[in-house]
Amino acid sequence: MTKKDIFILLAAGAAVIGAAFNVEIQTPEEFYSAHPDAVTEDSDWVTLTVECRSIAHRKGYDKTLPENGVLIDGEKYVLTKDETVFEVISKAAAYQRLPLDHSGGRNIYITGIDGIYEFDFGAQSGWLYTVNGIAPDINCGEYRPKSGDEIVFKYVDTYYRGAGMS
Amino acid sequence: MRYFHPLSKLTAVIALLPVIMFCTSLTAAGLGLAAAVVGLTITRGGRYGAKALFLSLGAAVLIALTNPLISHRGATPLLFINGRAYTLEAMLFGFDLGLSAAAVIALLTLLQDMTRREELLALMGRFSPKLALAVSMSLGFVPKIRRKTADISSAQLTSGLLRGESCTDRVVSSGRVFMAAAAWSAEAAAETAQVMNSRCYGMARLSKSSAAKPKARDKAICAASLLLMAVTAALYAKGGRQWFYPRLNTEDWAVSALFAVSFAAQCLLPVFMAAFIKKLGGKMR
Repeated sequence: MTKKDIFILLAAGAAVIGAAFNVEIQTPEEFYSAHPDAVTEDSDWVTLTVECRSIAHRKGYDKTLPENGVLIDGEKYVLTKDETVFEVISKAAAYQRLPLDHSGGRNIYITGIDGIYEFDFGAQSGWLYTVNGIAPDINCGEYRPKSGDEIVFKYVDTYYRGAGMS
Repeated sequence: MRYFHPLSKLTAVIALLPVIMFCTSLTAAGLGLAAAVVGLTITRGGRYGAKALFLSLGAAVLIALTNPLISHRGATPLLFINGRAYTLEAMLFGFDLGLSAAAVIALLTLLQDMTRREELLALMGRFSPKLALAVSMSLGFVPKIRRKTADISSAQLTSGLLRGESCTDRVVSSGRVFMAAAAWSAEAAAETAQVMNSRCYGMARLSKSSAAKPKARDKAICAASLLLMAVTAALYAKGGRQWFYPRLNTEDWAVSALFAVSFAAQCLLPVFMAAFIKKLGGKMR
């Protein structure tokens, strides 16, 4: 083995170690063990609802959907400073042991919650989010709610701008 | 002596491919790969068959391990990597993808062993002489470039050129040999095309090298292949499908079992044909 080979191997090893430091691996028990802070009188908070009523009674889907179509029902979560909607739902989903999948780096889009994914119920099906009944024009990874806001993630089978959605 | 008409050999193998490629089923992928490996063992020997099986399973395992890094679907997380689930179902789906790809490649290799280039040329020449030429030239390309690469490499080794002691030097040497072989093949292809053009290859009348017609057994084999493919597809549509997400499941276990039996019967056809040809002393390669 020549000096050149040793140098290349060391450089490759350093790259692998550097990548490993940026990778956080957790077991399911570790991931789900995190509990959100308790809501107190002084803390800022938001309410979160995740529902899929539009498809709750659809047939042909190999999944046991909740009968009332609600996965998270108006629960309060502490809102920390500069926290985004995506961060709120991430900690709520981890606490509730609901698988949450998303795409995008800066422009985050929720692709699936609890195994219900976009396009599973048609070409226009997917997850939308509203804050106080209005669908913001920015992705959930950038929207910062205020204390008292009501966040709703709704699964729709047709894209629409219905009542309360701008 | 022709034991089977090329049409029956082609039909028996090609009829397996749509089921493997378009039916989401670990069963179909596994059966297809098993049939291909058994066929290759018959045509090329046990050592090659074992190597083909090892490489196929290795590729499938590699895809199984990397698919969960891209797809996070599934109800059974094994790990969480940077907050994203690494699920069992995504691994199984990746394994199915790898098995399917390996099965298709192995079956096409088996087809290459069972048919000669002239037979394919004769068969396709009736419908599309240009396609027949392209297919027969493609089938011959890999063995030729492999031989040429070996020749160039041994010539350079003998001359003492491009051979260092380090691993990187050997990698660079291999790259240069491959570039030389690729350049040779491009020149040879152009020359071959000119020669074949001047001899009027690619025209319907001259591309057919055989006037033999399919016998009753060939027609029976073609009919059986297509019928089994239709039955398999129908059973898949009626409940033989496998879901990977959110959990591995099937719509109807009884129909799935029938689907497996039907496809297994379909997979046996090319294997029996290869064994029959081998037994009667037919030239395989």
